[in-house]
Amino acid sequence: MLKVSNLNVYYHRVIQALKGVSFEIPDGKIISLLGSNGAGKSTALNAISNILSFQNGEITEGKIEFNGNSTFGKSADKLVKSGMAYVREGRKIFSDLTVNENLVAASYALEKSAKKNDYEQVYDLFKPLYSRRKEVAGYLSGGEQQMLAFGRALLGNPKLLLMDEPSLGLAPVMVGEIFKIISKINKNLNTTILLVEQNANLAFKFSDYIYIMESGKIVIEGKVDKLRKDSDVQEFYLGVGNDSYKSYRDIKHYKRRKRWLS
Amino acid sequence: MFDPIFLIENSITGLFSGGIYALIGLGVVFIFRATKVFNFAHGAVIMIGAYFYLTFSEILISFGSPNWLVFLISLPATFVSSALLGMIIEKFLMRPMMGQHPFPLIMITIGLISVLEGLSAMIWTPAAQYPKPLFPLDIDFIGSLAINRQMLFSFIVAIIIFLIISIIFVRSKSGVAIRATATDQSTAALMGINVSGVFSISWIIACVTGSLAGILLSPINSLTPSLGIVGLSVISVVILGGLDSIIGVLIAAFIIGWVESMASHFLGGQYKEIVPYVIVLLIIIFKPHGLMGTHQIDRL
Repeated sequence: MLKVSNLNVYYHRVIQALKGVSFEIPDGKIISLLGSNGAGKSTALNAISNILSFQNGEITEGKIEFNGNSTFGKSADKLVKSGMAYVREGRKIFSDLTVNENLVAASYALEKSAKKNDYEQVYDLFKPLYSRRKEVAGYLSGGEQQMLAFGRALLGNPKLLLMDEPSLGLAPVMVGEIFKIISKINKNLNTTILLVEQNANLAFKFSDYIYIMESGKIVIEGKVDKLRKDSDVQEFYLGVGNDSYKSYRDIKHYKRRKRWLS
Repeated sequence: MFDPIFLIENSITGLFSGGIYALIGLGVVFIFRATKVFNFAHGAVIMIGAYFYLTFSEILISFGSPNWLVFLISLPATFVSSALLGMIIEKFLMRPMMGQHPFPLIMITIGLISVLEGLSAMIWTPAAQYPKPLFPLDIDFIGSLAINRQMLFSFIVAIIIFLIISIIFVRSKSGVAIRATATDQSTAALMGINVSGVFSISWIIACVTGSLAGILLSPINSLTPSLGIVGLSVISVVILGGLDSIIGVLIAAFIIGWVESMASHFLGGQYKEIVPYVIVLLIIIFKPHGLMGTHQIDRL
C-alpha cells in the first residue's frame, strides 16, 4: 500500500526532522509509529500526504510510493482523491463552519459529488454528530470534534488512513470508543491504517506491526509480540521495569545508553 | 446651505456610490477570505480593468462599429483580460509565497500598486481619458429631485452583480471550500480541496468584479492612472464591514458612501476622504471585528 524509503526532511532548509526513515505498510493492516515528542512522527505523516510545503518543509531525499506510484509532484488534494485520508493531530476541524459544512468540505475527496447516502454513512458511525449537525463545529466537545475529524476522513472512502494521535486530549472512555471505531474501520472497510501514537499501550493493543522512532530515525521495528518481549521497549515505552532495585542515577534516562543508539 | 432637496439628492448620490463601493469591496473580501491577504492593490486592479475597457472600446469604435457591438465585445474582452491579470498575479506573485505568513504577501500587494500605476502611465499616458460610458449621461427629474441616470444604472448593475456573486459563492459547495481554505489551508488540502485553485478563483473573481467597477466608475471620475485612489475609500468600507463578511461589506459600503457625500455636502469636498476613516476608527474601538466580521471561536 505505502512504501517509504530513506526519507530526509528539512524544515526551513535548516532543521532536519527526518534522517533516512524507511518503512512499509502492507494492505489491510494497522501499523503504528511510536516515539516521544519531536521524534518526527508527524513530519513523516505530513511528508506522506504532501502538505510539507504549507509548513515550509521540504523532502530532500528519499522515495514515497503509494499503491506503486511516487507521491512526489502530486498535490495533497490529488493524493486525497486517490484514496489517502489524514486525520491530523489536534483534530483541526474547521471551527467556524457547521458540522455539516465540515463534511461538505470533506466531500471534495470524492470523485463524484457527494450523495445524501455518503453523509448518512458518517452520521451512522458517529451518532452524536447527527443531532448537532447544524451547530458551529468549534463548539463541539473534544470527543465530538475527534469524531467529526474521523467522519471527514472516512467520507472519501479512503484506502489508507493516516492518523496522528487520535487519543490526544480525550477522556479515557472516549479514547476507548475511538479505538474501537478504528479497529472497526480496519476490519469492516478493510482500510489500511497508519497510526501515530504516544500512548504506547494503546498502540500495542491495536496494531499489527510497530515502528519506534527517535530523533528522526527508526530505531526498532517488529511485530507486536516480538517487541512486547524486548526489554528496552518494555522499559522505555511500556513502563515495565525489572524487579531488581536500581540506583537513581541509572534511572535518569538521558544517562543511560539505549542499545539501539550504540 | 441647508436645502432639503439638495440634502436628499446628495444622500442618493452617496448611496449610489455605495453600491459601487460594495462591488469593489466584494473583491477585497473574497481575496481576504480565501488567502488572509488584504489586497491593497485592488484599486490599481480596478484602474487597469478600466484601461482594458478603454482600449477595447476605442479599437472597436475606430473600426466604426455600432454601439451595441462595442459593448458586446469589449465588455467580455475586458473581463477575460482582467481574469488573466488576476491569474498572473496569483500564480507568479502569491503562489510562490504560499505557506508564508500573510504579511509579506500584503507587502507585495502594496508594491503592486506602484507597478500597476507606473505601467498604466507608460502604456496609456497619465492624461485623463473618458471611456465610452455604459449608460447615457442624462439627468431625470422626479419632482424637483435631479437623478443622474448613469449613476442610477451603475448602482443597479453593481448591486445585481454583487448579489449574484455572493449568493453563488456563499450558499454553494464552493463557498464552503473557500471558507475552509481560509480557516486552514493545509487541512483544506487534506479534504481534497484544490487550494491553489481556490486562490486562483478568488483572485479572478476579485479582478473581474473590480474591472466592472472600474468601467462603471471611470465615466463618472475620469480615467487616470490614479483612479485606484477609490481603493482608499474601499479600505474603510472593508474594515468597517469586518474584513471577511460579504453582508458587512454591503452595509458598510452604503454607510461610507452616504457619509462621504454628507461630508462633502456639509464640510466641503476636501473632507470627503477623511470623515469615513473617523467613523471607522470610532466603530472599531467598540466593535474590533467590524460590523459583521467573524469572531474567533474559542472553546473553553
